Amino acid sequence: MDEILKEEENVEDVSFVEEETPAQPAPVSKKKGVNHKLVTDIIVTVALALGSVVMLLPFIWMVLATFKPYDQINTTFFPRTWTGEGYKEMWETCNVITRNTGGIMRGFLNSLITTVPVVIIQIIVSAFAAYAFAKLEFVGKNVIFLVMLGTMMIPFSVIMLPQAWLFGRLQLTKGPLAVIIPKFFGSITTVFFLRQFFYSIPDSISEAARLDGAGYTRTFLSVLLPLVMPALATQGILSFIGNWNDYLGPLLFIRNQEWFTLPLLVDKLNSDGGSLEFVPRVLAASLVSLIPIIIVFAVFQKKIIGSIVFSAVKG
Amino acid sequence: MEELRNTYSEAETAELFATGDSEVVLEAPQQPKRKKRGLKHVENLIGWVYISPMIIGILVFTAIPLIMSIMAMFYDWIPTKMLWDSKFVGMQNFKDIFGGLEAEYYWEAIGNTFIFVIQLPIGLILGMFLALAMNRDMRGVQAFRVIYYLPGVMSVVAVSIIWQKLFDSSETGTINTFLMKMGASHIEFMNNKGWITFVVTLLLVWKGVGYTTLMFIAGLQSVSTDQLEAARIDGANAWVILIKITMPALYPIIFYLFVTGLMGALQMFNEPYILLGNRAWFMETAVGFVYRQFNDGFLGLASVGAWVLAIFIFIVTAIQMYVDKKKQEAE
Repeated sequence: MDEILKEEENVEDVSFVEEETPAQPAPVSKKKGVNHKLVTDIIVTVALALGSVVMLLPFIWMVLATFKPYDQINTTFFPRTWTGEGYKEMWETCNVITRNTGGIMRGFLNSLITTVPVVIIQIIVSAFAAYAFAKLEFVGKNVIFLVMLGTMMIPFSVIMLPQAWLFGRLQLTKGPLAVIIPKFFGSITTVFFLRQFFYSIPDSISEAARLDGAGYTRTFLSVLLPLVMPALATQGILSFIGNWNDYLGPLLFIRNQEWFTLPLLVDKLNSDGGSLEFVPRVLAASLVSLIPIIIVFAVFQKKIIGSIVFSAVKG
Repeated sequence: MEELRNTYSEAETAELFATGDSEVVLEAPQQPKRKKRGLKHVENLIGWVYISPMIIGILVFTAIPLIMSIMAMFYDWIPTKMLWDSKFVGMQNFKDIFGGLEAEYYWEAIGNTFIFVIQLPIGLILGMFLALAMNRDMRGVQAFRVIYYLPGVMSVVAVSIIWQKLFDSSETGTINTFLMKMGASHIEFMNNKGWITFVVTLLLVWKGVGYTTLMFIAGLQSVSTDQLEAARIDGANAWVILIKITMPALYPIIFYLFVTGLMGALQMFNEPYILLGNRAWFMETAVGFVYRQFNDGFLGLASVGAWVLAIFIFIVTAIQMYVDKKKQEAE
C-alpha cells in the first residue's frame, strides 16, 4: 500500500516538473514562470486553508460547546466560563439510558463487542474465500462468484426487514448478537478486494511451497497470507470504521437499551431531550463517541487514504 | 484408493485390448493424469471448505430473507405472527402503495429521496475543483487531503447531531442567533422542505467531498504525462488541456462516482432521519418510509416499499453494467 502511495507521489513530482519547466530556455521567462507558480501556489493554499476552516469549524464548535454552560452555546464561540458540567450530565443521563449498567462506558463496551470480533473474524473468513476464488480450482467456482457479486446488488433495505423479524423471533435483538452473527460469515466486498491481491501473487510462489510438502492450508497461512497482510490490515481498518459508525443496522437489530452501541446511545440521548439545556451533554457524548475513530484515523490515515487511491485506480 | 484405481485401469486396459489395439498406446500416459485428478479432488474439497462460511452466510442472511420479503408483499404480515400464519391479501399491499392509503406518503418519500440526490452533482463538481487544487506540488497538500477527508470517517450520528444543533429552527439556534446578530430574521430551517434540503445537502457534501476529491486526485495522476507534454509543446493553454485531456481521462471516475453515489443516495436514511429527529416524517426518504412501516408493524407494506425502491436501484445497476460492457468491448 505504502509503495503504491510512494509511486503516486513520484508520478505527481514528475508531472509537476514537466509542467513548470517551460520549453523556452530564456532565463527571464523561466524566472517569470517560477514567480507565476509561486503566486498560484499562494492563492491555492489560501483558498484551501479557508476551505479547511469550513471543514473543521463544526468540529471545533462542538469541542468548545461541550465545555460551555448551555446558555453560552449560541452566544459565544469561545466559552466565557469553562465547565465540565456537560460531561457530568452526559455521564448521568447515559447511565439512565443504559439502566445503570455503565452509561457511556457501557456504550463503549457494546461498540467494541459489536466491532472488534466482527472485524477479525470477517477478515479471516473473507481471506480464506478470496484465496479459494483466486488460487484454487473447484467445481462451480465461477457460478458461485457470480452469485456472490449478484447478492451485492440487493439493497439492504429489502432484506433488513425479514432479518430484523427473524432476529426478533429468535430473541437475538435483546443482546448484541443480531449485529454480530451475520457479519461472521465474511464480507463480499472484502473478498472481491482481496481476490485481486491474491491474483497478483505469482503461482510459482505457492507451487514452491507445495513442492516442499506443505498442504493447501499451510501454503495459504504461512506463505500467501503474510504477503497480503498489508491489504488485510487496510480492509480491517476500513471495516472497523464502518462497523463502529454503523447506525441503521444496530437501530434495527438492537432493541435493548443496555446493549446500545455508541451511535445508538448518542442518538437516544439526543432524541430524549431537544431543549437547549441538553445540547452540551449531547455534544459531549458525540465527541466521546468519535474519539476511537479519530485515533484510528490519525494513526492509519496514510493507509486509509492510500486504499481510496488504490480503489480509484482499479475502478 | 490407489488399489482401486489400479484395478480399474487394469480392467479398462483389458477391455481396450478386447475392443481394439490402437487405443492401448494411449493408455500408458494415463497413469500420472489419474494422480493429478486425485489432487484436484482434494483441491475441490478445500475450495469448497474455504468458501463454505460465505455460502452459509449468503443462504441464511440473504437468500432466506430475500424469499421472505418477496412473499411478504402478498401478506398482511405482522411481527407477532409467522409469515405463513398471516393473512394472505393478494395485491392489497401493492394497491396501498400505488394509489391507496399510503400512496401519497410513499411517492412523496420517493420524491424526497430524489431531491436529496442534488448533493451528488454538487459534490462531484466541488470535488473536482478541490482535486485540481490539491494535485499540485506544493507544501501542505497532504495535510489538506487529510483535513478534507476527515468528516468522511466520522460517525454519521455525531455529525448529523452537530448540524442539527447548528441549524436549530428556534431563535436560540446557533446559526439563527448569528443571523439575528447580523440583523437578519431567523429561519425555521427544519420547518421548510427547501431549507431541509439545503441543510442535508450541505451536510452530505461536507461529509463526502473529501472522498470524491481523493478519487479525482488518483484519476488526475493517471493522466499520461506524455500527452500533457505533447499538448504543451503544441502550445495548448491550461484551459484547453483541462477540457481536452484531463477531463476525458476522468470520465470513468466521474461515472463510477455518480453511479455508486446514486445507489447510495437512493438508499439514504441516516442523515435526514437523525437531523430531523422527532420530525423525521416531515421529509421522509424511501428507506425512512420502509423503516416507519416496519416499526408500526406493517411488514407487508414495508416490503412492497422496499422492492419498488430496489427496482430504481436495479435500473441504475443495469445502466452501469451496460456502460461497463460497452467500455470493455471498446478496449
